[in-house]
Amino acid sequence: MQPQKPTEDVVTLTNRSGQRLYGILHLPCSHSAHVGARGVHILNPGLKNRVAPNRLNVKIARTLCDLGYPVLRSDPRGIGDSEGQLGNGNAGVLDLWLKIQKGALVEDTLAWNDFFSRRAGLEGLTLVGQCGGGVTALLAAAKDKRVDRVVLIDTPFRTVPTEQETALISEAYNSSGEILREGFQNLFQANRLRKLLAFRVNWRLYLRALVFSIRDRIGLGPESARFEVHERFNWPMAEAFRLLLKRGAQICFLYAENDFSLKEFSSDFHPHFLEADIMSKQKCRVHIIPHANHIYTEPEWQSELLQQVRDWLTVQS
Amino acid sequence: MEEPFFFDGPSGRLFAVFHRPWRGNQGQDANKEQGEAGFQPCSTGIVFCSAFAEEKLWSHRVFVNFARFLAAKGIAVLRFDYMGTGDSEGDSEDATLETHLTDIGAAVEELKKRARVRAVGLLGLRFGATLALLAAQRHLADAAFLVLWEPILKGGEYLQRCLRSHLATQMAAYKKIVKTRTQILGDIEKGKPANIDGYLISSEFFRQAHCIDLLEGTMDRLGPPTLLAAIRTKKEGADWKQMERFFQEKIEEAHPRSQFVTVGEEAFWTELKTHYEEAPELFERTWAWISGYEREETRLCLNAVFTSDNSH
Repeated sequence: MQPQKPTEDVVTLTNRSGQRLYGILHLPCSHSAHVGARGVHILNPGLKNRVAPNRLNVKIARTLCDLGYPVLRSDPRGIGDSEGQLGNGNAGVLDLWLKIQKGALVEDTLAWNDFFSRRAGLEGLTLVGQCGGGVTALLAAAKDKRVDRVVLIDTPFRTVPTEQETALISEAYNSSGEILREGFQNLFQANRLRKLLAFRVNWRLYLRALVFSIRDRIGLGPESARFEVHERFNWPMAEAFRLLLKRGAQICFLYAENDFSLKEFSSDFHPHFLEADIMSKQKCRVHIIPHANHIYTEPEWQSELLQQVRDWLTVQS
Repeated sequence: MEEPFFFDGPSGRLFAVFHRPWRGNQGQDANKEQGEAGFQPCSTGIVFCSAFAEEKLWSHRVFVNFARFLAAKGIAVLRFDYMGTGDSEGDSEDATLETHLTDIGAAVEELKKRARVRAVGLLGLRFGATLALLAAQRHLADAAFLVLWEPILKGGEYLQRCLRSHLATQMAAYKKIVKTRTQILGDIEKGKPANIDGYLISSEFFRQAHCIDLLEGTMDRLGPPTLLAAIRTKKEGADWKQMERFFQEKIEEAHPRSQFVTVGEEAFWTELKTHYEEAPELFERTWAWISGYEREETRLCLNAVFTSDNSH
């Protein structure tokens, strides 16, 4: 017998590190015929838990469940009620954000995808993530072929300012030719050759430049024409985006007009990866919610956000 | 061992996590030390009463880790979400002060059922501490002791600060005030919900919370033993002086075990540059007080049992 109203139950899983993770599974009272066995996995935003500021994730989940979607709201390690820690004790927020932006929560997200797919008998998955959750959603989606739709809300495309390694990657991407030429010339200068062999040069920079140069030549690089992006641009996100598009996935970008991440998206990502590519334009949607801030404190902003998510998923189904 | 679950509260299903107590590094289940069926053990449990709105979200990990800290010391803990908050049923605009207080009472009963504890205390942070205190005072929750972390003493002042924050948000978003404080208060008078820091609260909740004045109001002296912790890096300031005065006038003489402490921690219920998992000094000071209470109660309990045995 079908339940009379949607149900919400606590679910837990143990990740590969033996840590217990917590989530809430929303199951609709019936699956709508046009929806099929598709589930929506809503990730936690950054360092905040599965409820999200202003209970936004709860509202999104209940809205989508009322439409007939099974929905999971999950906490990865070190977040919410889940076991483990992201950092050591009380850590700096920037350091933890950086970890998330480099994919620290991807593994747990994939574990939750496995759990959710099995538990709800899903054929397809949509990932929804806000802020750091959006970063994780994009990176995880690229690694999970079950994910064919992604909703990214206020997702930053630059890493936080403490990142030196991203600057390294960016430098290698943008200047691989010059870097390799310089490296080659070093082989013919005795003092520089000594430094090279003693690992007293930036081998990582040379290696990355070599890899990017090769990938560029065989058509696997980001762009053969170089363009200017911010030194902290999060390139792995761009790679994940391209992988998803190649797979035929669809992506919805939602931004609050007053959110810092919109500026990053507009200057670094949109012109080079969306506007410049017809396929991207066809498979992606961008919407900006007027006046809204990062945590959608006004009811009308929340209503519009919910409506955008609901409408986009309905159209895709 | 932690058990997340939903239980039936007075206004709907409430989400909770039960932290089963265990002792020491051996990982022994403290419940196994409980006696045979029918015998009430001399053990203690605590229900955590969370802060309001975004303060709840920022302070969540500290609550989680203190619950784990206490469980490892042999104390049963229940954390829960009030109706209309967190993972619990309902919407925030349907909640009132009364629903929050009765939810606390229900959580106490749920903990007693699950942990078979003899005494249950309430631990609250900020507005959660205020609710814990009111629940105990109005006998809506059977509280054996209270731990109040930085309680809100004047509901009106607190809500006015939240409204000011809301006005600042309007300025940042619209570059002007779209709805003034007077207009917002006018809406509340007409029964419309108020937007407090992004959370819609019912006009009833607003009015009830606005009336809370623990300092100047006619609150009776608190009966149960109470630990009041002011959490700050400096003692000076109007809030600290208010808490000290509140303790001296309303709490100190009611029970010899009651204590007022100042703990040097940051305001972890706000947005900081540090992501707070723990508040070490607060944890230790609170545990020192709770363990002292527990030892005393165990002694009294065993005395009562011994006397009872001898009388047979």
